[in-house]
Amino acid sequence: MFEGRDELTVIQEDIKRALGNRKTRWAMLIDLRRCTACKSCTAGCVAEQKSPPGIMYRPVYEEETGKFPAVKRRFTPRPCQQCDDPPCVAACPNKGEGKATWKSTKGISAGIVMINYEQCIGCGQCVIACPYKARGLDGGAFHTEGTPQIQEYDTAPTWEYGRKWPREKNHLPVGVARKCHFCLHRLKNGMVPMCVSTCICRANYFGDPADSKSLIHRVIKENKGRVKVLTLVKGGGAPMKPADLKGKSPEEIAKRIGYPGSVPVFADAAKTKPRVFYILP
Amino acid sequence: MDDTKNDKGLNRRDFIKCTAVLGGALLASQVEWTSDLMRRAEAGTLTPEEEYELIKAENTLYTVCLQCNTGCGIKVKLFRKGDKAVALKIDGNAYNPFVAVPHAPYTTKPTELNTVDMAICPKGQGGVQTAYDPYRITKVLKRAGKRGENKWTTVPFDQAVNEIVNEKRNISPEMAIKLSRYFGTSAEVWLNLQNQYDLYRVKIKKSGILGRIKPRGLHKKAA
Repeated sequence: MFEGRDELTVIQEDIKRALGNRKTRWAMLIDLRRCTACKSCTAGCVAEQKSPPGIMYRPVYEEETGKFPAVKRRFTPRPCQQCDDPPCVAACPNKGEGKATWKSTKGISAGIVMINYEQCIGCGQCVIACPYKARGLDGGAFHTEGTPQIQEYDTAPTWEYGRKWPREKNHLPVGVARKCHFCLHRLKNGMVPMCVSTCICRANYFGDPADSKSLIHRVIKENKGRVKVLTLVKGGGAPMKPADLKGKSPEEIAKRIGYPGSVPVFADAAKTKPRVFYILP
Repeated sequence: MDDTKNDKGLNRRDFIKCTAVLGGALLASQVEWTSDLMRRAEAGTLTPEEEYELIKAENTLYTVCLQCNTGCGIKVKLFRKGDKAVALKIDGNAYNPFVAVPHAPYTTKPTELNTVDMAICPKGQGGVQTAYDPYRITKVLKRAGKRGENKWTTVPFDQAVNEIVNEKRNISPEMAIKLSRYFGTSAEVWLNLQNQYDLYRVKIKKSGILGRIKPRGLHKKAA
């Protein structure tokens, strides 16, 4: 609750106000003191975006430090950081606005690193370039594959980037790079991104931090000095060179780089200038 | 401009496809894909392909989650495909005080809350997977031979319920549990029904013997 109202209601009002402002640039703030690792955001995101098995736009990392009985646990949800200086876009051979991937700076999508599925060639360069392991290649699998019947909810469409994408074999976005886009299709309708709206702990804030009336602005201000950003996400895998990508399936690439990561590294600032901020416990 | 194209049954995507086939030079000038989309979204001139269909108020079902015993309010978002509908997403019901604090007034119209999603836990969201579980038991095994012969036929739930109601079969504890799963009731309800029916039958059938049984004195005094 914030001033007697549900945070989600306040955030939705912030988003509706920000949509009318041409200078809006979206950002997210995640309060790790509130996160309980229920993974509601992960489940909600997979259902909303129809991401195939193995692809997770927003995993939640669980870490344990200390020795019993002085044990501490920290849970870190990791959406795409929507960097202002994105290494994934720099690595793309078909980058540029309207092409495969670009950093949007205007319109409703301002602040988001966009992917145009129709232009992406699925080479995987961005997947290995992202320091947060936020990008993955869609292998085209279904969740109910190998069961008596592939269920209808599995083949239903997704509305990513404001377009209808039916989920069929060899139909886009199968075979191309996929990642979190702050639920652009929901923002467009004045809605809260899925991971934010489905958070039972209200650990997420969303909006335009430049808008002094917004909740995200106020919470960042209140917690000055505690707000950090991600610099790196470590995983079980090893870094890959672009030359190693040849002939590798999406699953093999994900396994090699340790997608979607497991150990986040925080700092006061990062080279990539992420637009997702964290309040550490 | 896009409107007129739509009226002729040719949307932007088809248009681009055609020009690509004809080798048109239009593809070279990559249309500002997203900004164009946003502009038309604001103007309300989106094609059906671009519309976000999960926010239609008429396709939203407000109900209560039974994935655990808490019973949070949920909204089930249906996706219509011809005359069939499939539940795609479960979200929190803004009318319900379990998921929204404070909750939306009950006088709020559903058309005002179609874009308001509240929080619901992953178990609640898994309701879609429970409902459409490919391994969900939807049929009943019926004994086809003598007891102990291990011969069975598969019958639909409706037929099983029918046969039981029409006194062809008794409700066994196993059947009671299956029925409770199917109807969402307790298993005891079904066993109690069978018990009551059995007692009633015995009372009628053995009324002669029952009349000859004299109750113990203790009861007589009390009465």
